Amino acid sequence: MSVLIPNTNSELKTADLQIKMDNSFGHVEVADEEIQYMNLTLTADDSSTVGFRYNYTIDPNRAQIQNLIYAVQIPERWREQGIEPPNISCKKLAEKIIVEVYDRFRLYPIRITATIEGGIFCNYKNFSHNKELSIEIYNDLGCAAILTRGGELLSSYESFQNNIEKPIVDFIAS
Amino acid sequence: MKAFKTILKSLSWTLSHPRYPQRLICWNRKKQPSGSFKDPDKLFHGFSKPDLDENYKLRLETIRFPDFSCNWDRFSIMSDVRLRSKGNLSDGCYSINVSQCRFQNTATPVHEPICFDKDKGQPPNFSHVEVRLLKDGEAIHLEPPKNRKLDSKTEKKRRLEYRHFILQSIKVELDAYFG
Repeated sequence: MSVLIPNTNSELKTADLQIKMDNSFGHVEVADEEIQYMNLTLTADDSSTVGFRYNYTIDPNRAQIQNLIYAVQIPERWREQGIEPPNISCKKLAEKIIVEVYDRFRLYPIRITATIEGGIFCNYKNFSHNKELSIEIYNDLGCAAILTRGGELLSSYESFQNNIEKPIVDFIAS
Repeated sequence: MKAFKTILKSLSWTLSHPRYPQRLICWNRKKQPSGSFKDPDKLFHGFSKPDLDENYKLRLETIRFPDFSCNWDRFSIMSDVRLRSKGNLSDGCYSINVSQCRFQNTATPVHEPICFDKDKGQPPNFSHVEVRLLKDGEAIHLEPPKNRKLDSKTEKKRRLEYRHFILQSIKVELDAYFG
């Protein structure tokens, strides 16, 4: 069975959300993948008048990271030099990587900007150990990263998107 | 005939821009081979406020490589970077030397004067140099082609390492003026 959530919350769009339920009412599946933090409580078992209360929250840091990535633009003078702005595929990959780092390690970047090489640049700083992790995600969906401490290069990583764990562990470790 | 045209255009430019430095005008000077770069020679590059981070340090993501444009100190002075196309009088200038530029044989400078015949609309700049990417095993005195970009995963990592090295080697010669 499938129902639409009534538009009782101004932040929600009715058409965007669909939930599927099985007969037991114990299992609720949210069809919209964008909504990560939705809790539903069903209050009736009459299939014709299903009522429910929901508590809808979005992690503000996570949302802010996503907004920062999609807001990245290149400076006008770079445009005049023929530098390519980050394309939408690059932004999607950047979102996937940076949000994954946030979800798994709760690390928040100190800077998300465009890179002159064509793509997105993201910088993390470990203030305890004076380490910096710089990640570049390019328009051709390549990705490279370097780990530095006080200007000294500690390690560099190719295909960062396929193995984020090792660089992040190196970055966190003392 | 081509040389004569260049001289004529240089003369015309000089008359119409009397304050433009003569050292940057091509006249009939010839492009220098890569082998003529000496290790201590400086390469000047302009920067402006958006290139700096919140601590007024240059940002890694603003360092372009390959085809990194510079002015060679043999034919220019540091403040000449402000006269480049899209340059500004408030721009700052930093330098790297040729030995740093050839770090791990990743890149080499190539003299690429901007004269009148091919770069329309740009002011003449005889000192213009481009730092270009070398392939593994290529000699540093070779002149790699323009717009060469090797896109393997290893090359991306190598380029990022190189840009980080350049960032660490930079010496600020003139500060940018923030008004």
